Amino acid sequence: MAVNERRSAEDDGLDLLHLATAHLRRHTDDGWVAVAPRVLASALAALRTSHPVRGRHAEGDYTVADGVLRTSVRTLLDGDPRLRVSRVAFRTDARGVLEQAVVELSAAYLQPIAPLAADVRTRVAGHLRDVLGDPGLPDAMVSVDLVVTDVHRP
Amino acid sequence: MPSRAASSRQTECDLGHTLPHRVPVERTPAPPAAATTTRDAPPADGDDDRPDEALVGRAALGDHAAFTTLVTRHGAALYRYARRLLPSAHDAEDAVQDALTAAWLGADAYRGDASVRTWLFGIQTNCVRRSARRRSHAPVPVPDDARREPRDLTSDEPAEHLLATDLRAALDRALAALPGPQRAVWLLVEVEGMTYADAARVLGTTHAAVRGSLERARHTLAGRFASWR
Repeated sequence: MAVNERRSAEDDGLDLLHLATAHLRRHTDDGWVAVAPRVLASALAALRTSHPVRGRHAEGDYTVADGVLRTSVRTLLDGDPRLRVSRVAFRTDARGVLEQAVVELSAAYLQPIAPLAADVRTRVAGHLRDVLGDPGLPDAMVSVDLVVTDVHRP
Repeated sequence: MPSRAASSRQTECDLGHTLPHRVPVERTPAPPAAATTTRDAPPADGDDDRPDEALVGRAALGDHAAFTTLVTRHGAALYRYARRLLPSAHDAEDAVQDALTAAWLGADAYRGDASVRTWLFGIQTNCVRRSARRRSHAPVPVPDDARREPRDLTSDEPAEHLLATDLRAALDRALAALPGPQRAVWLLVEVEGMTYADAARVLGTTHAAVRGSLERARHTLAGRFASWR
């Protein structure tokens, strides 16, 4: 009898623990509700380290942070419903001259891949020429690798 | 209240574990130059169905909306975890801010070898440990909700809600009495629903250690609740 009573108390404890755990799982702390906007804003305000990419101008060279360049390429492509950009990366030489740009994207379902890839290549290369101030930059120096990693519904 | 100086702490928390990641690259010749067309970015609404992995990729591209969606999904859980491992709401806020800052700055380091949730909790754990080291003699944490005044029995609050509040407060008090490692394991597995493997990854320990800590925590907590009325 005593064993049964002890067992019953343990079962009750476990049941209550499971119930309390379920409540905690669904619970959002008041503290988080109060600080979330501030915490998010602070995180987003943090500055990322960046590498300079060399641009050219009649009055002298200048540099563009690769983060700025990356964001500008994303912005360029974001309005296109045929694709979603997932990654943009750059490679430069020791002097910061752009050697390669890599764009990874997801193509909309049933989107013809080859024309889309060609269009992205053209637009990104043209954009980089504009931003880096060298319309005569050889195509070979601004090659764009395009990787299709996924598809999505338009 | 002014924002905390995130930039001064932005390298203090290590990122979660990562593995080399690279998808096959199809190299193609660059096309001839063409006129540039710029367009505005699409609105962020409707993007909430994207998987976490895609959102992290977008965050790496500087997409604030994508990162905001990630924080909306996981921020409350990260805070819930930090709050029960640190002695004050202020410390928890700092630790979550540090973790989110590290995640924002290191989004391009995410390689997909673990879920985004596991990655975020790994960063959060590092930040919590760092905070705990700074305050090693702080009192055992009891979240504010668990310290609230005795309930007003004349209120119109439904009895079910009062019971839930009392149960959660009792659980917070019981958790506060657990050793830190047991508490962390129990929170990750029982509250956040992680597998033993993911919890071990987050905590940088072994599957067996997680299982042992969890059993001890469960036994202690069940004992506390057996006498709870």
